[in-house]
Parts: sequence; C-alpha cells; structure tokens
Amino acid sequence: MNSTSPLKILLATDGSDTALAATDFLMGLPLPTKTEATVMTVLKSLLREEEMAELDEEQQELYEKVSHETNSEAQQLLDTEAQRLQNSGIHTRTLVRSGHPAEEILREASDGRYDIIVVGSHGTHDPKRFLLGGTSDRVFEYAPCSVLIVKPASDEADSDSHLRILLGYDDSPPARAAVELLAALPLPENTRLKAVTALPLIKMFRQDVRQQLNWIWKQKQTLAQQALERLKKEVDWKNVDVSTELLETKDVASALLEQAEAFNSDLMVIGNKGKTSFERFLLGSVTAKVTHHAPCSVLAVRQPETDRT
Amino acid sequence: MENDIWRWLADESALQQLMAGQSTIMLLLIIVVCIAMLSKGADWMIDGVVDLASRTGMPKIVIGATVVSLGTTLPEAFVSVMAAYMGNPGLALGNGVGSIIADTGLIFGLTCLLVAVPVNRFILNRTGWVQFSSASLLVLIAIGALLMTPEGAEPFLPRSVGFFFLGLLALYLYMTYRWARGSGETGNGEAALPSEDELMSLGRAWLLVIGGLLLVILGARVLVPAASEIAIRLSVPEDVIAATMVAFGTSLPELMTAIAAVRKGHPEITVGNIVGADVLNVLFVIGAAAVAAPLAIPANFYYFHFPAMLIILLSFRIFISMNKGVFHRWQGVWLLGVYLIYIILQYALNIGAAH
Repeated sequence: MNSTSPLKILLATDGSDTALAATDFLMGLPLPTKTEATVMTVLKSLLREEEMAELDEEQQELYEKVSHETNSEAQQLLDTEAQRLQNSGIHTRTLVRSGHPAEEILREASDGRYDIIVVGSHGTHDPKRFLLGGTSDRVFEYAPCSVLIVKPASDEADSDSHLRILLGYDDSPPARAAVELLAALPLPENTRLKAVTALPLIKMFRQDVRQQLNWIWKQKQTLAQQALERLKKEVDWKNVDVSTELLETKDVASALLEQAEAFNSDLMVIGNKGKTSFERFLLGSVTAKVTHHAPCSVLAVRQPETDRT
Repeated sequence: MENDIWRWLADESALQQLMAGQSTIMLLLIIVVCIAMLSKGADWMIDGVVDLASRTGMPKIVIGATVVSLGTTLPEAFVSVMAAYMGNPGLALGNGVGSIIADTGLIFGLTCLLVAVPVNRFILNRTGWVQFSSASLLVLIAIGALLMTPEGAEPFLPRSVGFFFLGLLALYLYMTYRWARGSGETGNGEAALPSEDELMSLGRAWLLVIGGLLLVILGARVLVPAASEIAIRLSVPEDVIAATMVAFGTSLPELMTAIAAVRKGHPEITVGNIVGADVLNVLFVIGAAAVAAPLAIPANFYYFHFPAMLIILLSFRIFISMNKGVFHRWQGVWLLGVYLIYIILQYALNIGAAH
C-alpha cells in the first residue's frame, strides 16, 4: 500500500463465531476512507471428480440440489457480512470459491494483490464450510501479504474505550513496514501504542553472562534504544500516545505475549520475516508463536513485495 | 538391583563386564544417554554455580571469565579425567584433541556457513594466538616426549605436564578477566550479577550444583567403558572413538549454544566460545587428565590427530587475520570440510589399527 492506492483487504469467512468476530473487529478498526474489502468464502467440494462420474442420475440430482443450497447459503452469508462492512463505510465485494480453503484464500490474495488477509483465529468443524482448524495457520504461514488473525474479544476487553496496540519492534524491514502501516491508519485520538523491543538472551549454560559482557551486546542495546527513539520521534503519530520499552529476555515471543497481557492490548502488531521452511525449522519463528498464543488479535505485517530487494 | 548398580559403578571390572554383555545398539544407546547426562549436568552445575557466585557479590565479568567459560568444557574434562583414571589414556587424549577439531571444524564451520559471524580483530587476534599457541605447545611437548622416549617404549605426557597446563589455565583465566576489563566495552561488567528476584532459592542452587555434578560424574563414568567397548566391537583404536563419537558428544554444549546463538541472532558469542573451548581443551581437559594419570600418546597422534588439529587451528588463525568485519561462508565450508575428512579418514583408513 502507498498513500495513493487504496488499502485492499481480503476477509475470509465461514460464518463461524470467530469469523463473524473478524468482521466485527474490522468494523471497529480505524481504516482509511479508500479501503476496499473482499469478503470471500470457500466451499469444500463434497465429492471428487471421479466420484461424481460414478453417480447415477438420481444421485446427481440430489448432489446438485445440495450444492445449490450450500452455494446460496454461502452467498447469503457473504451478503450479510458485506452489508455490515458497507454500513461502516468500507467499499465491499463478495467472492465464492470452491476447493481447499487455505489454497484458495492464498491464491486470491496473491492474484488480487491484497494488502491484508483477515481471518478468524480458528474456524468451524462443519465439513460443508471451510476454515477447518489449521486454515488460519496455513494462511499465516504462506501469505504473500500481511495477515490479521482475529481472536474474539473477551467480555472484559471493553472496559477501556481506548484502542491499545502492542507493537513488537526489532527495526527489521518488516517491522518498519508495520510502523508505516500503523502510521497510515487514521488511529483515533487517545489510541495507546506501546513499542517493545526484546533482545534475546541465551540462558543455556548461562551464556547470557558472556553475551552481556560482549562488546557487540552493548552495541546492539544502543542501536535498539536508538531505533525505539526514532520510532517515537520521527514517525508522525498525530495524537497517538506512544511509549517504548527495551527488554532483555531468554524468550522473545513469551516476553511480547506477557507485555500484551499486561498492556491489556486489543491488537498486537509484529513484522513477519516470512522465512523458508528450512529457516523456520532452524530458527523458529517468533511471529508464529506470538500468533498462536496471543491474548488478542494479531496483525503480522509483511514487507510489501515491491519494497523487497 | 540397587546393590548391582552400586557394584557396577564402584568396580571398574564389573562395569566393563556389564558393557561387554550389551548389544552394540544398546551400547550406542548408553552412550547417547551418557552424553545427554553430561550436557544436562553441566547446564545445571553452571546455573547453580553462577547463582551462588552472584550471591557473594562477585562481578559479572569474573563469573563470565571463570565459571561460565569453564562450564561448557566440563563434559570433556570429566570424561577425559575419568578415562585417564580408569586407564584409557587414548580416550582421554583423543577426546581433548577431537573436541578441539569438533568445536572449530564442525561447530564454528557450521555457524559460518549459516550466518555472518562478526570478527573483532583486536580481541580475536589476542585470544586467537593463545588458542593456536596452547595447541602448538601440546604438540611440541608431545614431540619432546617422543624424542626422549627410548626405542620401543610409548611416549607419554607425565603428571608434571598436567600440573604445568593447570598452572597455565589459572594464568589464562586471569588474563581473560584482565582483557575483558581492559577492553572497556563490557557494559556493566563490574556489577554484581542479578537483582534479588532473579536469584533462585539457595536450596535450589545447591541442588543444581550437586545434582549436576552427580550427573556429569555418572555420565563420564559409564561413557568411558561403553566407548571403549564400542571401539573393540568396531575394531578401531579407542582414540578413534574418542576423537569422533565421544568428542562430538562432549562438545554438545558448544553445539547447543552455537545453535541457540544462531537462532537468536547473536553468533558473535560462538567465536569467543570456540576460541575459549579450544584453549580449555588443552589446558583444562588434557591438563587435568594428565594429572589424574600420565597420558600415553599413541603413535597415530603424531601422524594424524595432531596434524589435523594444527591444520584446522592454523586455518582459523589465518581467517582471523584475513577477515575484515565477518567470517566468510567459504571459510565455514573449509573448516567443515576438514572436519568431515578427518572423521571419515579415521574409519576409512582405520588409522592406527596396526598400532
């Protein structure tokens, strides 16, 4: 996204509670006026092609009837959700696909060059519908763009009317992309943003003692502190109340999760480096752990393709 | 059953008989369990000792230069001392030399291959020389021993050399402390370690120290005869098993911390660890083993293990002088290549089998 093109959002829904909550969450988010949303659902094919060929006429008729019903149910769901978004001023269209849910969402995301995919944290187990458990994980893992995974708000979450955002910041290109995206949103006055940098310590064999004595550690601390200062001062946050914190911890993901809990945040935002499978196996992924265990919704921001070199 | 366990542990011949009665698969399994015990035990011990040391108000910089630095070499030291004490000098020496090669070739080579490791030439030039010199000193003394040994007898490192190395070890630890202080880039190194809430309970700290120590001793005690038995089964000399399998196992703490350092994006600590571990493998591991019992030097050390160690250390030394900023990936490939050739040749050529 840049300042001239509209923000393109792909909302994947299956009518489950968490998917409906995703629509609610999107409606509550301060989005730019030119935002365009596509509400999409994926119908799982009930039969494989070779199985279809074996059906007799009566069975085929029944099959088509069921398919038709499923289709119109899906369209109805999309129309309702689209209408809700339209009502909150977002230009919306609908899309029904059939096939493997995660694959179809990812294909649409990449063909349609969306900025953000929005999914509920887990879906229904109704075989007629999509977003079986794991779909949001898969979408998150392979998405070509940023992903917002919405967790339904708990009842106590509304006690404070201010929007509270916890930003996990490490000054990497995706983290800077996250800041850019946040700064571009018309965040309401009194939004609280807390940017946290967590430097990882190696507690195994107490290597943290030597690590902290190393000259490079001091350098990394200074750089991280400077990056947080820049984030606070050089970005035009308008009326957002920005605070920062630099932590040293053995487990970055857990530290961020604890911070989010303590900050009572509505949304966690983190940069997603999008590692290859091998790198993920070797290096692990802080983003993936945060997304899995977050107490609130998580926006994992990927650096836009055009900016990557 | 309980009595049997004590008898096996207390009586070497009973332990050896027990190992001889096991299948090869079972022996390998025992070795894996022992290695895990050594590694976990060292981890617990360091954790406990760092905690206890912090309570005394000892500066972090001293703790870093002593406890933590010695800690990852504990498995090597216990295994080599135990091997020397139980009369397996080939195992003791092979483990020390093999660990140097595994640390520098395998672990550091792999790290370089995966990520860019920063070089601080000022610091590394100094410690790099100590690393190369201590290994060269070992080789020189070994050659001296060879020259002074009458024809037909096997050269050995006498106890006095062990004491000499331990003396150098004390000097080395003191110097690393001085250097760390002098570099002025050590942050709050003078501060005592953690605040109250970061300390564990006193009982827990002691439990970790004692539990860790027991694990390390037990692991080393059982590993030595198991490795020795495996050598007999594969009909290779003990030092081949020591330099390959045992050295890899006892270097596990270095490997684990190197992986954690890469994962967490701080590969710079690996360079320091490897250089430190190499020095300690000579001064601490081989030194303490020679004190436990004079270490016979099998002939293949002269034409195989020592040259391999010097090649790998010399390469590392040259890379330090060459590099501006970071170690290069091809350097990792080279170190790893030398390590692999060293390992494969031992089995392929059956080095020292005629010995």
